Amino acid sequence: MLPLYYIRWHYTQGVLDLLNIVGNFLWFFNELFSIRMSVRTFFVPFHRLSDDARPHGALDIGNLLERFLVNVLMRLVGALLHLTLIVLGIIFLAATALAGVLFLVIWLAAPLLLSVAAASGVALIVLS
Amino acid sequence: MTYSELATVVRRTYGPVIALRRVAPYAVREKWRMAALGISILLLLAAASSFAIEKAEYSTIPILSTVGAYAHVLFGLFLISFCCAFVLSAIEAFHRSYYFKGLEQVLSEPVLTGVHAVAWEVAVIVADTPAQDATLGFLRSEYGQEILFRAGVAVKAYADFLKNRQVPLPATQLVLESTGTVTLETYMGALLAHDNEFAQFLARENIVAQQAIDAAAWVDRIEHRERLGARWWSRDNLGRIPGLGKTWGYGETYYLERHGHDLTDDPAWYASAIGAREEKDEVEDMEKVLARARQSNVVLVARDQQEARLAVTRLYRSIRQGACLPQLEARRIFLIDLVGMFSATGNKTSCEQELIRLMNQAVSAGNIMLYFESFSTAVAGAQGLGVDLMDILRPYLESADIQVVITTEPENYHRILSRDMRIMQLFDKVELHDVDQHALIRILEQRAVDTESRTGVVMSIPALYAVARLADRYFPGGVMPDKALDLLEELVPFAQAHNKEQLVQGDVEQLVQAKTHVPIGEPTHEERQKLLSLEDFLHRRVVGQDAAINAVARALRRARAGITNEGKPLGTFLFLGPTGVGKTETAKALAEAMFGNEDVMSRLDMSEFQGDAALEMLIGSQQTGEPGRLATLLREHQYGVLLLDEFEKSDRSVHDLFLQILDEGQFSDATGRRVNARNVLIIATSNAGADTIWKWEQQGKDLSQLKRTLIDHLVKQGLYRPEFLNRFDDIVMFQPLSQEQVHKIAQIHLTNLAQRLQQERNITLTITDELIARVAEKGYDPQFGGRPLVHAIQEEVEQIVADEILKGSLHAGDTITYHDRAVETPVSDGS
Repeated sequence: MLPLYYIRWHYTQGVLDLLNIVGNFLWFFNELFSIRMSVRTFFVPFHRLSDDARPHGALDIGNLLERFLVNVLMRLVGALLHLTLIVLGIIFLAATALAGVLFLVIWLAAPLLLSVAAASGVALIVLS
Repeated sequence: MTYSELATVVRRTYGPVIALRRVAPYAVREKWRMAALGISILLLLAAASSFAIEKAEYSTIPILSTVGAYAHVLFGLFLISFCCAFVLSAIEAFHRSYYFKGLEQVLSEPVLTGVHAVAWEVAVIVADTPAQDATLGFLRSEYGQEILFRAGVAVKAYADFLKNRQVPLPATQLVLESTGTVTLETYMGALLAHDNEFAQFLARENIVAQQAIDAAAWVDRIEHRERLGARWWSRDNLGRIPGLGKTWGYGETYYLERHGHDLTDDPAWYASAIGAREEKDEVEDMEKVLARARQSNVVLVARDQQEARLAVTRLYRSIRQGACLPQLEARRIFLIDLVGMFSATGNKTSCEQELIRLMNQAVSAGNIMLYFESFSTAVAGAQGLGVDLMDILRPYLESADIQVVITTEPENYHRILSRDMRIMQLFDKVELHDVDQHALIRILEQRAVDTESRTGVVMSIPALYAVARLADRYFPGGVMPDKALDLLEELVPFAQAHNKEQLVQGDVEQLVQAKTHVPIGEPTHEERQKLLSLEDFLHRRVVGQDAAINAVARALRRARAGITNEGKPLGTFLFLGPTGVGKTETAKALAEAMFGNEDVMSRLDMSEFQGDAALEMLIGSQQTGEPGRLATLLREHQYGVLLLDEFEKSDRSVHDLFLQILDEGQFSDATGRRVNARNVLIIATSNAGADTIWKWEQQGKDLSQLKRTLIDHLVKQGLYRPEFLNRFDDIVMFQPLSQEQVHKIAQIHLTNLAQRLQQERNITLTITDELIARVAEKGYDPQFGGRPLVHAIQEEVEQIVADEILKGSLHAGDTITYHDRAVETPVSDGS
């Protein structure tokens, strides 16, 4: 009975468990690289650093330009860092998904693969 | 659920892995799996090296060429061992898939949904239980044995029980009462309900049913925690790793860091992980308020500020774990030291500027929650500089940009904060309650497991019960669960010093007794003897008064046997009778009998507490801030005897106060703080009715029959109210002293004097009958009892001895004898 129990589990709950583990890692890398938050705050200045000091009195074009430049620069720094995170995150997610698919295939074909591997092992020992 | 239904569910839910367990138990499988994995890795390395050697054409070196020739064999062996390792690992995955069934997680996972009808531990027990005896199966199983171990039952004890078992419990007779999952707790409850012999065995081991059930629940939780940890790939475990770039989108916090710190840098951060409460009511309440769109501020009212900080830290933990409401996601909680900030700035203008700068930065950062401790102190500190703190904070508190949590003690909340309408409008109140007994035991269990892994000292459930009960009873100063956790920590060095591996109830009692000097737990043989002959012990100091001594001794034995109400003082007595008949001496003797030392007696002359100010003098004044004498006395002397002299002379309001103290063993002082009187023996003395007693004595009446009449007489006179008198454990009537008793007292006093003279001056005083008669005659006054005796001894003996010493006629080594109203100093070695 035990081998039958096992085989039934291998192709039902076992597959679900495997998919769950892959899903957990996908969730984890998504959280680790804060992809959702990075997209949402893509153009927010890095650490909200900005030049808000308004000059007193008459309109000062130089100051206005300076503030504009500083603010644009900070947003660009923020965007660059966020982009790095997003790209890294996507790489990890893709690698996890790929590894998941690969392992799923191995899992499903395990009886066959293991038989082949064991037979090859015996053959290698016997023939050499 | 009947046992057969349970067995069916177990078969249906866990059948495959139960079968696996029978073929190969976990320990065996794990050993094989590890071996297969290890061999595979070694063979892979060996095969790879051989191939490398073969490829590198080292055939000229004979040994290497031989190694190269085996490359294919090694690879073949690797393939076989790898297949074994894979199969064994897959079998383990098969086992774990069932083992993790029904595991509850904070962050849900689709595969774990659904609650299972039977927990894994129960399934294991049921699988191995023989049909003829359910209890036998339980006690043989690893989980059953762990439960008994946690309950503090020695292995030998239950082995003996099994050996001498009379009435087995057929498994089919077991019925389980469970609406949810059948856990070890449920199973233990069913066994105790159905197996009387087993329940009696535990009772003989001093374990009550509830403790045994709690031990089972504890093992349930330990196993659950172990399973949560073993699933390292769960979202809960992976989610603990902090994310990258979470704070990039939020502003700088350098001002906040100047005047405070992020709560993750606080010692409470680690403490909150260890002592996390199971029930999250207050944290959830806070979360709900803080997640609101506007006016999301909380005033946390807590008796202990450290406990409040722990609660806020627990909230922060759930935010960081992503287990909170979405509105609070990515929030950082900063603890700001307002009082320190005010003292650093020094004047109104810079203080206001610094505060505004700080608040502006908190707003611009965009993800800040501010936490101010002891807010009422900060308000007062700001007032000292002329700053209206609430006026400055108000616009920020009203906005949606920031959340603020303030804490305060209950008395300060009522006295200061609740009177400020702005605070009432802008803050929602959350009260932090002391944890209840059940929750406290669970916290202690959790800490005990941590202590166990750290130090190797194992706690038993009865020990944890004792910790919870005794910490509350004998350390009234602190708050729960801190003081219980402190006591638990103190038990570790105690256990190590006494070479104990597992702590039981008696050990906790022993430690608390050593710390407080209050006798606790089972009396020792010596103490038992002393208690049984308490009357004799008291009579060594008190002459006569048999009825009074018997009454007091009986009450004391009741208290020591542990059958008195724990919510009351250790004992309460009203001593009635004339002056100088031994009331105070009995109180002192009681202090010595109970605490081993008469110095533990504190005394208040109640005649000082008259008039309108009487109550204020005792409990303190809110206006002047003066502490009360009774409150101070009880805080400084938490354990001992409290003697209240001439109680009838105190004001009626004082009687009302003591009505409460005698009833509840505690009262609130002027500031609202509770004062504990549960660890003192309260003795009120009163001369009221002395005339009546004296008159009865003169008439030759049997006074022991007249106690009720005397009490009625006192009530009629309006000296005491009946409800007040009823609160005492006993009202003890002292009788006037007879001539013979005065002689005895004189003898005791003279013996004491003789001992003193011998020790201090090496002078021997011969106590003759004549001397005793003389002192008794001069020192006896029907109105003042034996009190003038002391004066008589001073005049008749001490004075004469002093004069002789000064004259130089009495030296060390001399013997003096009283004769014919004069002291004779015969020639001796020293003269």
